[in-house]
Amino acid sequence: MAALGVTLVKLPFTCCGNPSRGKNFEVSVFSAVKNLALAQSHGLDILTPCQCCFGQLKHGAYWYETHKGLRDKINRLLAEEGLSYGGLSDKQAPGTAHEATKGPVQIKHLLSFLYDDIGPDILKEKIVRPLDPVKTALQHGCHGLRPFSVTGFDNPFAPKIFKELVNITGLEAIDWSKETECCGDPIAEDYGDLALKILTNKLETASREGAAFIITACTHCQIQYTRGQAQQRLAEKFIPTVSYPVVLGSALGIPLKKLSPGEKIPIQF
Amino acid sequence: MTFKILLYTSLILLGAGLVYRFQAIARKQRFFERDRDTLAKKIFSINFKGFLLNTLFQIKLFRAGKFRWLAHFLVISGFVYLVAVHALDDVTYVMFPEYQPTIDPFRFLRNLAGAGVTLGCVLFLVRRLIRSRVNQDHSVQDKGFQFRGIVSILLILALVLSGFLLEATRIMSEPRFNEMVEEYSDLDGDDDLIHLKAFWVENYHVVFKENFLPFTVDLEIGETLNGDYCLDCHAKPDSAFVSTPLAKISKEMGNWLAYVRVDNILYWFHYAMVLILICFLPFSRMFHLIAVPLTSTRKRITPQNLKKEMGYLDVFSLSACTNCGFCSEVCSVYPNFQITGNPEILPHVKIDTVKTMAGKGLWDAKTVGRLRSGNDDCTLCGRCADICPSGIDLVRLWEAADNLMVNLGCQNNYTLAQEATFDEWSKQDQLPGDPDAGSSMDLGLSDQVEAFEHCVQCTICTNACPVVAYDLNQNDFGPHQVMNLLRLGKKQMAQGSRMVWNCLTCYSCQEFCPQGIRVTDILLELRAGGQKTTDRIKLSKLNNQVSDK
Repeated sequence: MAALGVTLVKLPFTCCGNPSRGKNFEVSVFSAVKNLALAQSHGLDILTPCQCCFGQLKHGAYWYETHKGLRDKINRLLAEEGLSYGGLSDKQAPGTAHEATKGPVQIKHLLSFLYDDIGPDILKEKIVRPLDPVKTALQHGCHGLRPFSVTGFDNPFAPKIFKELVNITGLEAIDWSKETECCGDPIAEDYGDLALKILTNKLETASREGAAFIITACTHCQIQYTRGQAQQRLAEKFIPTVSYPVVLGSALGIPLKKLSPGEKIPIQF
Repeated sequence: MTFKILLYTSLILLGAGLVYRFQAIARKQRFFERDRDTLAKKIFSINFKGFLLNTLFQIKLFRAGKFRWLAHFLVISGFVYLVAVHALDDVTYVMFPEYQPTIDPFRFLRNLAGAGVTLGCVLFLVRRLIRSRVNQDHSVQDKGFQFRGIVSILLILALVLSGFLLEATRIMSEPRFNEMVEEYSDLDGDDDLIHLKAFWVENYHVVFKENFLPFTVDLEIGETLNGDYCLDCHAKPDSAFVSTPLAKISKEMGNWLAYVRVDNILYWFHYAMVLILICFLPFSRMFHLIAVPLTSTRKRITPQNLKKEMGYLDVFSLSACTNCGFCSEVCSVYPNFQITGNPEILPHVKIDTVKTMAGKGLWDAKTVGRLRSGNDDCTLCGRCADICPSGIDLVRLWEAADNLMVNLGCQNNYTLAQEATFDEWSKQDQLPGDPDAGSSMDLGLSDQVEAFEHCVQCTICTNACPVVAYDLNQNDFGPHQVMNLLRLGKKQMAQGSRMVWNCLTCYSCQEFCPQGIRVTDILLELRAGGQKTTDRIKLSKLNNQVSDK
């Protein structure tokens, strides 16, 4: 991010709460809001490279606003730790809080940040090492796209942000029929066969539709694509997977070793 | 002679204790594959640098918390000095040929080391009075971490303090003075002795019964005699900055102390403390002296090869845990604990439970049930293992704990829900809920008719669902059928359906629904409800297993 003139601050965040969605609604919302409150206490916005975190934070903020009983409980728990979230901070005396705490924390996914805050045009100027126009398939990740009413990330049926950001680097993003479909990660732990089946099908269609590799916009998808068995299938189909930051970083002229220690990277870069 | 016999006995006990501990640990080490576990034998790749840094400087503790590192390092460095130079002086005088306990710098250094250890121990004790955030909750307090290992601290404290008192009383002691005179000089019964005594009263703080009138003694003669007989081994004790003030304070009692030979009593007490410490080392918190360096030699598992390796329960690293609680302070799912109040979410509590379970199996249904739930909440993010001052590979441990529970017959909720019979599932309706489950504040979508009544059974959701598409043969209901179950009032049945438990949460159904029904949110809520039912089934199963034993 330094190449783009952005400074990241690492805060002691906890889990976003996405893994607890199917177990305890309260936990998932509280986890998300707690992280938002933490960012707010530092007067910062949140940036995440993961669609699941992004979606979950959005969900947390959404249900915090909508569900009054839960909001009160969360406020109480946050107050115990000296945190607060949302409009409450307006009442703080001047001087006790950062300036930026006046507005609610912005939740940004890496892609939406690059697209909205940096802008594709500026990004294009910074590209020093355009990549060969190889056809690639894009794995969006579900939780950022859907439900649109909560996440507001991109068009949930025909997303364009990711595509544009990939095309900037010189690669050629194809219209993959499965690009907005789930990678299978959420069920990989409990029902590995199903997850693998989903993934295999995705790989088959991607290779049939002419993609040389897959770029992911979500950490969880990337994890799913690099799991042991999935890796085997990838090797069979000769379709490697990389996460978007590696692609962009490489186009920005950052040495590969610095970008991704230990990750397998397709030869095109 | 008695000394030697006692010392060797304690050393033999120490050896036996260590052998016992290692054996007991080796018996519990286990490898796991799903559904089967074998006794472990594995050679680890060695992390030599980590071992060295963590053993000598406790580098991981330094990174975790500077204050605690300071307290710990004071104790360790002081104690190492005392053991090496003071306790083992018979052995180490080779390295310090000029060593005498009563000359400088050794006298000063001994006091310094002792003071360091005392200060460190006091800091340890103070910290225990101030409960850290992770130990505040009463569910954690019940586990009694606050007083874990306190015996070791008190023993060390008793050892060092008795050492100071011993030195102080020896400084004052008249009988001790007489013994030394008899042994190292030919002044016994000599008239000149009185001058030496007077000199020692003045400069060495000895307390004698008789008073020395200024005109009867000549301090200069005393000084010459001191130079002849004493000075080689006895520097003035003022450099003993703890013991000498102690001696000065208790000067008034000097005669009485000398009369009952308190210095000898303290000597035996001091020695007894040493022996007790030696004997208890394998069975107390002090075992971490051995466990931590050994644990630090092991290389950590990476998330990438976590699944490739077989599960391995490393009981040895369990014994390196000192319940310091750093892991819980950085735990990613700490908010889960804040809401559910399940202490078995917190790593420092979990590790303790796993330790008990490795020895006793499923000994307590409630605790094991909670551990199952807490361990399932864990995201294996690895922050606990990053910070652990003992260098325990906690990620590997949580994975092993999962396997251990599966092999002992405690499945995770997903598997249980799939395997539960219809009877088991429906029976739970009548059972009262777990009183510890806490009030839940979910959305209640599945109980609000307006949330799903608009469903027109168009099957768009089912057509959009990847689970339905790829799991066609096994899947029971499509999302639209789950909605219909709700309309029929069959919530319980819906909660147990495969659709609900296999839902990928990809939100395709919800996004596509022409009626705007929150299909995915409802599915997730049903699963959350099903988790509670499963928890009850799990608890009753565990209760049966425990009572069978």
